[in-house]
Formats: sequence, C-alpha cells, structure tokens
Amino acid sequence: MEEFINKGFNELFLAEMSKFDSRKYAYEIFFNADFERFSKISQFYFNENGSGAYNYMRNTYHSWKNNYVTPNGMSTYRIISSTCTTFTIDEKFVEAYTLLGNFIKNGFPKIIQLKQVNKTFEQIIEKINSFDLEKTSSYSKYIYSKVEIIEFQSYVKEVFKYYTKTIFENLNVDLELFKKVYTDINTAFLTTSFHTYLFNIEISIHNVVNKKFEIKKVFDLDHAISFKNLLSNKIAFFSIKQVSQISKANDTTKIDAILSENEIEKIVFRKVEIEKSNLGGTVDLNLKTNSGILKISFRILSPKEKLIITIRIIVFLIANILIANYFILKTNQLFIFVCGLFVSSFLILPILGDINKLTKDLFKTNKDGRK
Amino acid sequence: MEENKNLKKFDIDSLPSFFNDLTKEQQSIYLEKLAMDNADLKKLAGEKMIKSKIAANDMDTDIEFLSRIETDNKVVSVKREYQTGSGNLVLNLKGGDKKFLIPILIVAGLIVIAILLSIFH
Repeated sequence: MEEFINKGFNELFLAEMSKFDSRKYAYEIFFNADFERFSKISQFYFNENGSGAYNYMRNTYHSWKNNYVTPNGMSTYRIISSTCTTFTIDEKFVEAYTLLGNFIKNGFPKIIQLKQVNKTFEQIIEKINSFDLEKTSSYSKYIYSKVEIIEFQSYVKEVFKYYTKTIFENLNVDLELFKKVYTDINTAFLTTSFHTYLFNIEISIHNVVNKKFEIKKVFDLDHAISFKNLLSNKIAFFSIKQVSQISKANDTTKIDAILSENEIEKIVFRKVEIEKSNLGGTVDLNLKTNSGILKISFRILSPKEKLIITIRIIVFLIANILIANYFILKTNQLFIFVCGLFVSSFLILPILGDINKLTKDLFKTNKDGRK
Repeated sequence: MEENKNLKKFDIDSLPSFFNDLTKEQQSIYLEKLAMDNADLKKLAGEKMIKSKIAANDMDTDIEFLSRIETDNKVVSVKREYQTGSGNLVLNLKGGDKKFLIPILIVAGLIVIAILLSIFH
C-alpha cells in the first residue's frame, strides 16, 4: 500500500493501480497486522462469526500463517471481511479507485484516431457516471459504512473525471508537439505511436500535420469539475493530499513535456550530424508528454545504403528490359516472360517500402530546396 | 502565526480560487503540502535536467567517435541506450567500410546481365 500511496498519480493511473487486489491485500494484512489492528480484526471476527469460529481462528492462526494449513473458503471469506472493516481512508480510496478503474476498462476503444478523441472522452465520462461502488465490490459492506459508500463513490468519480479532463485537455498542448515531431524530423522513415497516461489509449497521430484537430475544451463543458469539487469536507485531509497529488502529477508532466520538446530539437540536430557522417541506423525515442507517452522511431539511410538500393533498381530495370525484349518481341513466350519478371522482382520486393520512402524523402528535399 | 508564515512563501494570486473557501485548518494543510510539493518539483526538475544533459553529452561523444571510425573506413555497428529526463533514447548505428559490397553488387549485376544476353542472343 505504501508504494501505491507514494507514487505519482500518472504512474498509478498507467498500470499499477489495476494490480491492486483488495482481497489479497486484506489477507496479507490479517497475518501481518500490528497488535492494535489485529485486536480490531479479532473483535469483528468474534462479533460476526461467533465464538466457535473465533476459537478455531485463534487455534489455527499460526498454522495458516506458516502455510502448514490453508484456510478453507469460509475461513478465507471471514479473514478478508474482518480485515476489510479496519481499512484506513487511504485503503478505502485505493479500493474504490481500483474498482472504478476496472469498471471503466472496457467502456471505451483502446485504439483511436485523433478525430475520435472527443467521442471517446464522452464515452469515458458516461461510463464513470454509471459506476456503482456497492454493486461492484463484493466486500463493500465490510469496507464502507452506508454514508461512506456514497461519499467514496462520488469522490472517486470526481477524481477520475477531473483527471480524465486534465489529460484530455493536455492533449491540446501535445498536438503542437506532435506537429513539431513530423515537421522537424521530416522523413518518410518516421513512425510514431502515442499512448495516453490515463486508460492507456493508443491515439494515431500520423495525420496531425495534414488536418486541423481541436480537442474539446473540456473544462468549458457544463458541470465543469474543479479542484474545489474534490475537496470533500468529510475526508478533508485526505482530499487535500489527493488534490495536491494531482496538481503535482500535472506539473511533473509539464516538466516532462518541456524536456521532451528539447529532446526532439536535439535529435533533429543529431540526425543531420549522423547523415553528414555517412553512418546509417535507427533512432528510437520514448518521451513523456503532457498527456501520455510518445514513441518516435525513424531510420537514417547511409549514402552507401542509398546507393545499394539504386543499384538494385537499375539491375531490376535492365534485366526486365532484356527479358521483355527477348521473350515478348522476339520469341513471343509470355509465360517465360512472367516467370522472369517474378524471379527478378525479388531484387526490389524486399525493399519496396524503403524505395517508396526514399523517393518521398527525395521529393521532400527537392521541394524544401526550392523553397 | 504559522499560517501567515506559510502564506508569505506564496504569491497569493497564484493560489487556486478554491483556496479562500477552505477552512483555516484546510488552508494550513494545503499550504504545507504545496510547499513540500514545490520543493519536490524543483528537485525533480533539476534531476531530470541533469539526466538529459548527461544523455546529450554521452550521445555527442558517441556520434563523434563513430563518425571518426567511419572516416577511418572501419566497420561500425553499435547500439546505445540513453536515459533522458523525460524518457529514453536508443541509437542503433551502422556504418564503415562497405566498399567491398558495392563492387560485388555491380559485378553480380553485370554477370546477371551478361548471362541473360548470352542466353538470348
């Protein structure tokens, strides 16, 4: 739990929070609790299950703990439910938060185009709104009191909505960064992929330069959510901790985004240097931005690689001219001509993609040169 | 007193609008947390910048070294990974003396053409 609490929100949202299993956690707590907590657990165990079950638990506790005996289904349920009654606010929050995270996991597409961002955002908000903590958690009646369940449900919904909005709003800023990647690196050998921090949605950004995209200004929507909404009076201290954590996570992403922009500028400069040095190769970057993780990969062809591609094209052309000349014009053997064409195509088929990209790059260079 | 001391550290205008709606106790907790977070962020930004600088420096040295090998016509094939402040970068460079490959390709091409010519004539 400590590690969950101490980590930044982005890291938690990305993947780790979904790994949290309250049943497993409660089970571990039961065997590792301090005296005070264990007394509370035992008290509940006794009150809920009676003296017979309680005595059995006391007698077999060490055998369970040392794995000599495994508790049966009923005992496991009793262990977990009793421990759940002693959950702290932090633990209750993580439980509600994880359940909501898992609940909305399948409520939106995992791979989308940029133009689908607004629609996906609305789908996620809709899904968050339909979350019911009591129905989702099998141990909710032990973890939360009647009042708490409403409070935590609405609280995690607010946190999720706020953070969803923050990330989607930040995408607006990242659009400029995506454009910069395509215009500055400026090669057909460039491939990118982008995953949002939140929900790990893959957004295809390859056409960001050609079209104008505008992500909805989500905070201008009706029922806008602010930090103020997140400050619940009932769980005041905890709320402030969460609010400042979101704020800190957001500031951290801004630092990352600035550094990523610098990295892109530097890599453009180095690409030129590598090209000048007659070296070839690949460059792969994983960069954190305002709203997610951007992967950039591109290839630099050395002059020698370009020459080899050119020679293969020339040999292919000459061979085909000769084959066509002999089998079509002189002997009229179409079948053998097709066979010859098929065999010689192995000269260029494996590098067809490279030829295509290289041609595009040559046109680009000519255009830029003319400009 | 403590609260006022905390407040002095911050630009009142830069505090969020909800700040005034908080209770005195909440304000105090918020300011304390903000101070801690600001210090953490400054430290984090510094660490990230240092990481980026080290990565940039390493990369420059590597590229310069590899270009020198390339001009000496030695075969180069190197994979390097750099941790930057905001991510990581993997550089996979190849180069060097491929001169032997070009004549082979030309000769192979010419042989293919010559064989084709001799068959068809």
